[in-house]
Amino acid sequence: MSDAENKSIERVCKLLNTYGADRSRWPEGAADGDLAPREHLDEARALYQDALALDALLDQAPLPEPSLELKADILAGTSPNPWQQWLTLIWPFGPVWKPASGLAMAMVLGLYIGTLAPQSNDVLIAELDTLIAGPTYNLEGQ
Amino acid sequence: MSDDRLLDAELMKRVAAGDQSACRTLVEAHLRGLVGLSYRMLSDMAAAEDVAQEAFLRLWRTAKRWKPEARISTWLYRVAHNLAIDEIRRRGHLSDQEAPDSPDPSANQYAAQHQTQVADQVEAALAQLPVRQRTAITLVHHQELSNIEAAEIMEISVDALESLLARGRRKLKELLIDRKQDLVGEME
Repeated sequence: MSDAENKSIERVCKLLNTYGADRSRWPEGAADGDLAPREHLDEARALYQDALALDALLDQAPLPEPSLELKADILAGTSPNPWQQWLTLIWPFGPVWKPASGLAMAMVLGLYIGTLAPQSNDVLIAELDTLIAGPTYNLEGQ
Repeated sequence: MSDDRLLDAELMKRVAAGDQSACRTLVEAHLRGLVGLSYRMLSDMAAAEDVAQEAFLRLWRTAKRWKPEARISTWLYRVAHNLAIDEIRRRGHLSDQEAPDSPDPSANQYAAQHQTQVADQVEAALAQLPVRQRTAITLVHHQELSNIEAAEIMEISVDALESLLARGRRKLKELLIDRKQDLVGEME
């Protein structure tokens, strides 16, 4: 047997031992080439039979089915809660934090400007007092 | 970028937009596989379902910042795999040691009589493998994932995956093939 044939058999044996007899499970490209005709050799054939039997046994132990409740629970996790639905209703244009932070900034700025200008408020209040009390005249001098 | 990844990215955009049908599509496509993998790793159906649910919840949370180069299946399986490993560690059962040599099946006739189903016998043999070996076999044999994808999920090299597969299958042969005639007889 040539070195190339030996290598080929060695490769088939490794694939059978690792991935089993079903070539669809072999790595991409591994089933190509001259591997197929080598299977008639006794060494590979014995391994092939063992791998085939083990594959058949593994197929007899299918994976368990998830419960319907689990499916429902997982999908329920995708539904937005009522609060999120309400936010989406009033702001359907994307993340609500953007307009909310704009409003908050405007409010902070308004308060800041308001506290920086107390003088003008005093003047305004004095003017209002004057208007409410009406004009005062000094009659004593007349 | 591959078509699969583009399709995945499109699907995740729909999930991020709250599209229920996209979420349902993903659950239908991957839930069974995730529960199966977790069950094989944990041997506990309730814990396996918890792991699968958590993996999906994390996917929903990730939807808005999904990177188009990722594949949903690989991402989900990797998250489930890591969650299951965490759970096994929490229980203090993680070991890469080979399972002790199985008792001679004939010496355990009492148990064998009660394991009338082939599936139960195969499941019992799988449960005797170290968790990484049965994870590798589940991903490649039962989930039919490629060796590259399975290695990516387990965060190991393809060589390491192949080593786990070969050792796992060798052990299963020891545990099951000796009784092949009986099992095949029961299957027929």
